[in-house]
Amino acid sequence: MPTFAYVCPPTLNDCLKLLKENPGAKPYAGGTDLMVKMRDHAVSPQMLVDLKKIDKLKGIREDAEGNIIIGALTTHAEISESPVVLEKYPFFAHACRWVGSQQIRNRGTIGGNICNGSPAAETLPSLYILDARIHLESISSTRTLPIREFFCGPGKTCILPGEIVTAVEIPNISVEFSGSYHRQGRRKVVCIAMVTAAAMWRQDETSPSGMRFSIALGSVAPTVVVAKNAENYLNECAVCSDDVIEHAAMTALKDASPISDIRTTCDYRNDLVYVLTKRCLKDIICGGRELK
Amino acid sequence: MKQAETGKKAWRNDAYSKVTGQAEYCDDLKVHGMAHAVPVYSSEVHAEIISIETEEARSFPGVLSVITAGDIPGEIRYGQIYKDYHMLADDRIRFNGDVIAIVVAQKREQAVAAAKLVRLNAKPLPPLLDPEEALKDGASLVHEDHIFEGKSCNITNHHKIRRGNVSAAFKECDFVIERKFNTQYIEHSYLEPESGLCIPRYDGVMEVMGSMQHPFSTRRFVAAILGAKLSDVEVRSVAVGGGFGGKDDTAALVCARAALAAKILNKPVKMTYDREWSFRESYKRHPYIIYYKMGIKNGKIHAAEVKIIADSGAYCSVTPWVTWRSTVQCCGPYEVEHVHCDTYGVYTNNVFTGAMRGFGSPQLNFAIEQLVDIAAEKLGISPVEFRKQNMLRQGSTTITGQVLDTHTVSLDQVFEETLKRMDYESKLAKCSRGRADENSDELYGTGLALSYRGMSLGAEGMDFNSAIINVQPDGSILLEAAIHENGQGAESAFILIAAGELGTSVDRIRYRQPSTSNIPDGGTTVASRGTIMGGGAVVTATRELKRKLAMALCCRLSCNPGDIRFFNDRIYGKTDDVFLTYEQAVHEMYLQQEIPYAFGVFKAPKVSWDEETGKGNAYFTWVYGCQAVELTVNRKTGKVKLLNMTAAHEVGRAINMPMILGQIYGGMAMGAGYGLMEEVKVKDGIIQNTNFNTYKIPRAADLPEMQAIVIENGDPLSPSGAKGIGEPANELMAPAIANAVYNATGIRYYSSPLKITVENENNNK
Repeated sequence: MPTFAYVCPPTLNDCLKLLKENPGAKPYAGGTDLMVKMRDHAVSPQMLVDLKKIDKLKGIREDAEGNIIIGALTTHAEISESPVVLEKYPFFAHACRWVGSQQIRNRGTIGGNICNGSPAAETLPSLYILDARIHLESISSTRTLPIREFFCGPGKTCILPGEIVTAVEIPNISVEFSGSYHRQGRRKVVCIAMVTAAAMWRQDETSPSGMRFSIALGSVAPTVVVAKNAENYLNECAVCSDDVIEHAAMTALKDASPISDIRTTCDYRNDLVYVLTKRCLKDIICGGRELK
Repeated sequence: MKQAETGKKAWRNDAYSKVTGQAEYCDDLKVHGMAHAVPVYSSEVHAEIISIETEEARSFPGVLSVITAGDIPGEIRYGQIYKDYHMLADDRIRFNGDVIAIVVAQKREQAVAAAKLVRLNAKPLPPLLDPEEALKDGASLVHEDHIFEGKSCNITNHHKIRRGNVSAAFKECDFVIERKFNTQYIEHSYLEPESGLCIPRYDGVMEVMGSMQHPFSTRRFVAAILGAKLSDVEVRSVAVGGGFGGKDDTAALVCARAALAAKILNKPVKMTYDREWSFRESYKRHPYIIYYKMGIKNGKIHAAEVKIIADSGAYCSVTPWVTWRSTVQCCGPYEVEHVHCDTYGVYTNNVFTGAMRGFGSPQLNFAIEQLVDIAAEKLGISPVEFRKQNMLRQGSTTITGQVLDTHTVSLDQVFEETLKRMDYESKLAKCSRGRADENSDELYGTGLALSYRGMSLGAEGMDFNSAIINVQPDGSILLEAAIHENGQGAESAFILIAAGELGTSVDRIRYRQPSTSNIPDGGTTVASRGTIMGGGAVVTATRELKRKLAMALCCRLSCNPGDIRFFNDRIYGKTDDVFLTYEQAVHEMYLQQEIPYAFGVFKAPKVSWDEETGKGNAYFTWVYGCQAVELTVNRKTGKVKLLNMTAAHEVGRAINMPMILGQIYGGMAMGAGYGLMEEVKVKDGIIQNTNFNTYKIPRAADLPEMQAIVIENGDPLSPSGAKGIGEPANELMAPAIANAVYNATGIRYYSSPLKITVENENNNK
């Protein structure tokens, strides 16, 4: 491990100031990705700015409008056990349970998972279909970005120098909806997924079936992708029959551009895109309440 | 008082220290003035070394020395069978894990940083990566000076079996099955990577501690590199975090390199490998290519023709021994009249291969046990029936001509017990065979596999072991044996055996870890030989001690030596009211100037082997096992879900039952990994997955309920009655899974790990 300076500022302001003044500094949350990258010399920050004293970045709260705001330092374990997340978006809580091991879930944070920008990140497909918004803050400004605009490549995000993610906001869904998440790895635990998929419908009287669909796929492209072709197909169908689900799952393949790597082959990823998309759709259509 | 019972209760002498984290492993040890050594690798797979530039690394802060082959005072090359391993590469890089230099620094971090500054100038050579190519005449040579049967080639060994007349026999057969099988490289995945700490002692002895499973092998490697006598190297034991056969050559090499640095600097040096180095450099289980032809006549396996090609990688290690076992066991536990087997070990520029739990049997069982199921199906009978028609029974003759009549042949027993416990035959009828229920994508299957296994080394090597028992003045007892504790519980087994023989409590006996300087070389702790060989020596030593005690104490106990009895933690005369405590007994012995000390040796009964014909009594005794599995296969994703794994093993006499169960459960789990997920992926000679994030082993969540059935038939040729369980438990689950997957999907997989194809025909359009 290379040498580096370590600071643990007590306030967000101090932290943002340090990040601005030291271009070689990196924010440090759970460290479950960062430490490994530093050991492998994939990144070599001159300074680590530990965020752990900044209570403002911790915890999950629901505001008056029903939006859920998850502080960037909230751990995967906390999200997966959170009563409010479990009640409103159980599939998202469930997705957080797939992250690493219990130890990693106790340390790793949602902010870190997002900023790490892995296309295989367990949290991302669900956040995509939930239209999550990323709160960013630097010493001079604050802004909010839709998650779909946040990534520009594998491990690459739109974070500007001196900026950190402070929270993830899941906007309230005022209509009826149903969501689901599926993933497959080589084994059941401590295993990065080969493919991830999340799907959701929300009530929408303007669409022929009364449902508007969103589907996101992970580990099949440089970033998590929205399965636009499959979404468009579903949003034009009047009924969600088994045949329609079948065709939608097949259409999702057009939205994926997987590669072969050490985890699995391109062909098998394609197989999984079809199977996992179908599982998600079956879950939300059979398991969820039909509107019409 | 804890009775010395061999029964149900879990007992380990080292449980407390290991559970509480007090046990000290090599990397936990710190010595004043200790320096740290790390290996330097190159990016080459096969190359001619022109020069190694070390100047820049030498001037890095904290660096004490950068050592290359030229600095070795003793032998540069060493090895267990052939001296072909360059402990530091001198002329060529032969595989990607070759170490070109070691960097020694005050701090490990400094050594790691400086290692990157060592530069290699080399001329790359085309690597030889396909063992079948390497076998061909005119193939480039991995070792230019290697000669086999009078000619330069890449063959490390050729074992044969010539039994009956195969070509004539195939003509008599009702049908012949011909298949090719491939098995993969796997990593041992011991918890603790290699580590060695070497201390140059004031008396001129190099003291070595390390994570290893064969201290005497380590001593030979260390003595060779230093050019020292064996008596000038003392290897001491520390707690070891697992071996599975993998802590021999590489573990010894790590200690040898640390010793070299310690000698050159004249200060203690520690060398601890990280996981990536261990994956890159340490030997793996041999991948096999197996061409198998099996002929069936009247429902019997009439003839078998087998060609086995084992990729030895860049170095020989113990390839001739591993492949010898494959040869002897090449027809599985069945009677076959006509057998022709040719087994080759072959050098390539891949990672080298050597001993791993199973030692040549998991690869062959993967082939044989599938072939047996294929044959049964062709015959239109159940695989259970077919096995019963062909399996070895009491008095049967093996394919090497050995008559099995010196012990209980319990193959039918393990088979019947497994069938009964699993309700196997009714489950077999329920298998999906490619057709799932309408509403489900899950295909159900069950499968099993049978094996017999020669115990200990057999005709592959010298086989004996010794033990020392030394009663102290207060009646406490020190016990030691020339078998190494790798984490498997050997020490506990020996204490239980000694306590049983002496009728004492286990609390009376302390196990002393011997060093290579105080106990004779008893061979390596491999081949499931710890309990049978070490335990045999412990029994011999305790019996000698009892003889000495009886001779010295008979007057005091007013009886003949033959009347003396050892039980209840005391020594009794003819009647129960006449006895001595151990403390009194030792006092009496000292008065007589007698030392209550005994040295016991167990020599394995004679075995035989003819290299040309493959005839002989290959092993002095055998064990028998059966494992079965139930699973489902998702036909859309190919995902296998294990539902239940069951094993029945005959172990001779059970010494420490919970440890036996642990071996069986662990063996099945490891076997499931071999069958379904584990694979060291090699691309152009370079290992792609060098840590557990990419090399997947099964975890608890992936494993189903497991049942273990232990069958005891004390072996007359084993002094303790015990045989072994370490390897038998790990040679059956992969073929059982392959058979179950076939019964579920109707598709045969001839390569391990199984890569199951899925049904989504339309989806890639």
